[in-house]
Amino acid sequence: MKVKHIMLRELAAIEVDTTIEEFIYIVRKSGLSSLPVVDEGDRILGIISERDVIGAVLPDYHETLQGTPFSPNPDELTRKLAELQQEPVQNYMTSSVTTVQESADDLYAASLMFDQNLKLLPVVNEEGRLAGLVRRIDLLKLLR
Amino acid sequence: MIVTITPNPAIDQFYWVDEILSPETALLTRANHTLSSAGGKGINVSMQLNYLGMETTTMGFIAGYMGHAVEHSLHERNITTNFVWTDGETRANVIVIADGKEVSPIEVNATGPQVSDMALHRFQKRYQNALLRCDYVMCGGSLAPGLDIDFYKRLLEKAHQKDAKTMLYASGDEFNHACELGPWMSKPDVRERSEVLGKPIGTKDQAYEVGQELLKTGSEIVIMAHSLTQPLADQMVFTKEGIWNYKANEIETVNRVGAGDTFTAGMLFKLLKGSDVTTASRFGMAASLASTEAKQTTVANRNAIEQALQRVEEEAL
Repeated sequence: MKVKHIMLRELAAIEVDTTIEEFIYIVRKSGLSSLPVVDEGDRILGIISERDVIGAVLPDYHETLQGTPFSPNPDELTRKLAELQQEPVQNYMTSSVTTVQESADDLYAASLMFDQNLKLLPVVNEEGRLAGLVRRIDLLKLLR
Repeated sequence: MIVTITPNPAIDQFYWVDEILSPETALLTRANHTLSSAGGKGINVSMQLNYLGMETTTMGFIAGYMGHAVEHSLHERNITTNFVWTDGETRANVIVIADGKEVSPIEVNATGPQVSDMALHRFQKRYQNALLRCDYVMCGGSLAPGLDIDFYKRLLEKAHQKDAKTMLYASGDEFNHACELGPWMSKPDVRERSEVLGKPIGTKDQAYEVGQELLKTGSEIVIMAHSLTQPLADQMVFTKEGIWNYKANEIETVNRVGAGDTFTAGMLFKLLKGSDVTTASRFGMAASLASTEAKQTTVANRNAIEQALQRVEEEAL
């Protein structure tokens, strides 16, 4: 089966100048945990996730969480988030993005996601424009 | 590629009942069959085109639980979505169809969510990107609260700047304002207000007159529905080359909601496959007839459309 047969046909994407506030709004409403960042032709420039934003608010959050009981100061968290809100996603996105062609085999997409521990894999068409998304649950559709 | 725009999508909830009981008789009416589906003109056109094997991307504003239901309904059909989220709740439209009264269902449409400035700004960006990858833009249905009456006009302007062909299927002032730009295809929705460009269109003669007015705006194809109280409204098709009326016969109405949308989709499908206007219109009318005789608003079975063609009557005017 090809990727285009299992992907979520969803063109949810944001632009580099989209603010963090807007990004948070969209992920909160849509239920997606990350979004592709595209240029004016829907070609993928990066990807940004909830984790990227949390990491920016609390840079050592993940590391601290590994070793010690951790209770962030809510005031500090709110202040940092407020500072971040009007910044463009460009400042926090991951620019090196793994994508897959819609004509690729689904097993290839699965191996990419597994090997790189990806939750979301953007799919591009022959012109390199966003065509859809593969989530982990989309791979499990194969088992139906 | 075709982009369809439904500014105010819905979940259409259909209830078929044996009869509509008065409160004096019973306080509860039970449905004998129910059906829920994503709806709205652009969405219905996308769903019908998808059944016919033509890919589209559908856009608009969604919100809340019903917004997720709209997206899910479309994704299940492998239709590409490019919606923008806003606050509130996508509307649910309720249609109650009583046995023997299928021609006159009770239809209650909700208003829809308020589109915020941020959502409108996002939509404009997503639309601008979509224009770089499409050849046709179809705008259809009512506007969600928060959108001004020139919303469609601006979408058509931008599409024309990118040389995309446009279709306008709407009502009221949003139609009147946008049709001035001469969309490639225009079809006023006259279910609520029987007037277009300030002129009444209740009768066949009035529809004939207004259709010709609309041709003067530069539209290549104008479609006017009339005789709306029939089991299936006639469709009058205008081009510079001729005017034709399409009528369906021997109709067994099951669900007439969306019949105009399947007409538009069927016609569009044939036109994009290279058919002439009359062949496309006959196919559109057959799709409309087949959808009227099924519970779903769109027709999954292509054979049903082909068979319905035999009951479509064409008259050159």
